Amino acid sequence: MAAGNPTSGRLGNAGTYVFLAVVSAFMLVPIYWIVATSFKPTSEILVTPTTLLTTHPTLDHYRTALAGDFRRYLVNSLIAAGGSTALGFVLSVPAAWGFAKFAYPGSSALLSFTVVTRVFPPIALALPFFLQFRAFGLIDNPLGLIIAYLPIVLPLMIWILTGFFRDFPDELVEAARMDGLGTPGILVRIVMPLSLPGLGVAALFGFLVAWNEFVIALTITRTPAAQTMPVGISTLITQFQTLWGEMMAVAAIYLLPVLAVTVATQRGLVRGLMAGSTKG
Amino acid sequence: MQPAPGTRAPAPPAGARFRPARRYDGSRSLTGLLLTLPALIALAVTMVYPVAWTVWLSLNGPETAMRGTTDFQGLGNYTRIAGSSGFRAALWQTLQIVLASFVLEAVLGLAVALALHRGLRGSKVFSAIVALPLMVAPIVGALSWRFILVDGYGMIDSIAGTFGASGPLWFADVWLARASIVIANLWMALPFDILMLLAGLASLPSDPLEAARVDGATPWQLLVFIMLPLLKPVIAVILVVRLADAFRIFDVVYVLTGGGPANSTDVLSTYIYRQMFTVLDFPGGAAAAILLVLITAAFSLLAVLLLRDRRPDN
Repeated sequence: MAAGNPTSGRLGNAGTYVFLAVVSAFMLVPIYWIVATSFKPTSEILVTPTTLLTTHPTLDHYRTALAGDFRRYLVNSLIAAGGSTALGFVLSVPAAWGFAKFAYPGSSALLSFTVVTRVFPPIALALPFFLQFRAFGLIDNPLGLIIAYLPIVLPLMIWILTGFFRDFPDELVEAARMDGLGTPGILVRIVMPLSLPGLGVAALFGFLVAWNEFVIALTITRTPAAQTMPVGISTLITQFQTLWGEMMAVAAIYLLPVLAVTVATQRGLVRGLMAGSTKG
Repeated sequence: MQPAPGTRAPAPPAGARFRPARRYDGSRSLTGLLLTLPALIALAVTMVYPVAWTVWLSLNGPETAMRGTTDFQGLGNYTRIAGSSGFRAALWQTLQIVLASFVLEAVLGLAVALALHRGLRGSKVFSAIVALPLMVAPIVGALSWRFILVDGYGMIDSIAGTFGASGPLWFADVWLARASIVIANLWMALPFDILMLLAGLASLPSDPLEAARVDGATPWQLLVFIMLPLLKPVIAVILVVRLADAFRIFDVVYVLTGGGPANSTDVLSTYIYRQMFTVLDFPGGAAAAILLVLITAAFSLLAVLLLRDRRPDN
């Protein structure tokens, strides 16, 4: 299938397997270390040499973590990521449909501008958000995070959905129009039900970038009342004593759904990453 | 129900969607505007306005951020920040990390993608494994690397310890601390590079490859003269996205080294954050943030221009 591949000539099959195994190990080690440490009793964590795999697994760190502020962090992350994704969804679906099928003077420039914001450093938004949100009482407020994540979530979702919607067959749209449906009806009753994979990929990406965001959350949240998981985890490191066991349990709770989603939807993720890249 | 031919205005012929110069239809234009307007307003409020305000803050004195009064300084904050040793060090260290990450990701990403593209038995499992960190939060990835590299009870030290040796002090040495950032960053970025290149390789047309092979091209010649040029659009996307991500790197540095030892791993984002929220130099921080935006934009534009599809139109 892929002859003419430099690796085939030089390495042969065995060499390719060894190379892939080494790279796979590099990818797996940090994940393994988080999970393995989260089950170790504290007495085994901070000793030299530490054990690579404990013989006395314990759920203590998970219990402590879930009894502390981490339930708050988890809920706040869900609210911030879920809220901004929902808002992004409502705004991006019509916008992407408009960009994909109803070009108007300047629309492609506006779409390009929207896409270009992907490379924008979020630290440049931190100061205005901080100063402005202080005036509106949105500091340390989950609603503030939902608003602050919009400029990160929305362009990404528009970008992905426009890629999907461009491929939507025009014949179906025309047929629905003949049946007397207006643009909103066509969008809700024809386009959306037939674009579920695209909508899923867009929502997933939107959710994950908000779920993983750190700088802005660090800037505009102050207490566990609004702090998200990444901020909560980072406060544990900068404290005087680093609670590795607890931190790794939290990291594991945070990590496993993300890994499960990555494995389960890998083809969708690749499509999402590629959307817009081959066109536009 | 197919519409009768000629009943709607500028229906583009099948297969020629969107690319040919189009004429805009009034009512379709209005529909498009109405559909996109809410999202555009949301972006104007949450993105354009804050950035414009940052620009304004960067051109004024500290009173502007605190009280809203105007105290126009021109480019004074820019010359002050651009001349400061802290900013220059952060810029230089950012460029080093960008360059090191770029070289490592290009070489390893391409090698892994080519190895997976051979389609050997088990490739699917390997590609699932190398994709795992794709969506992992930088904070969590960096945290794990910190706990792997940390001296004493870290994983590397422990393995070394069983042989009676001890690992290096990753976070005390300037170059090792920088290396730790590049390693953690590589772990997080490589899945994106690999998956994009794999998708690009899978969509390569087979004819040019076949023809070159018949003509006796070596595998390396195939890669350099046929495959890489055909992959240019994919490589352009990877380059732009990864350049932007590397320039704004913050989370990994914050968790892994905190900018230390002695600010030797300070990057632009951590410098800006400190300038804004620790030093409380709002105008200086704003100026540095705008400089970061401009630098990122310049490099992204350069990448796009270098890899633009040049049509053979002479």
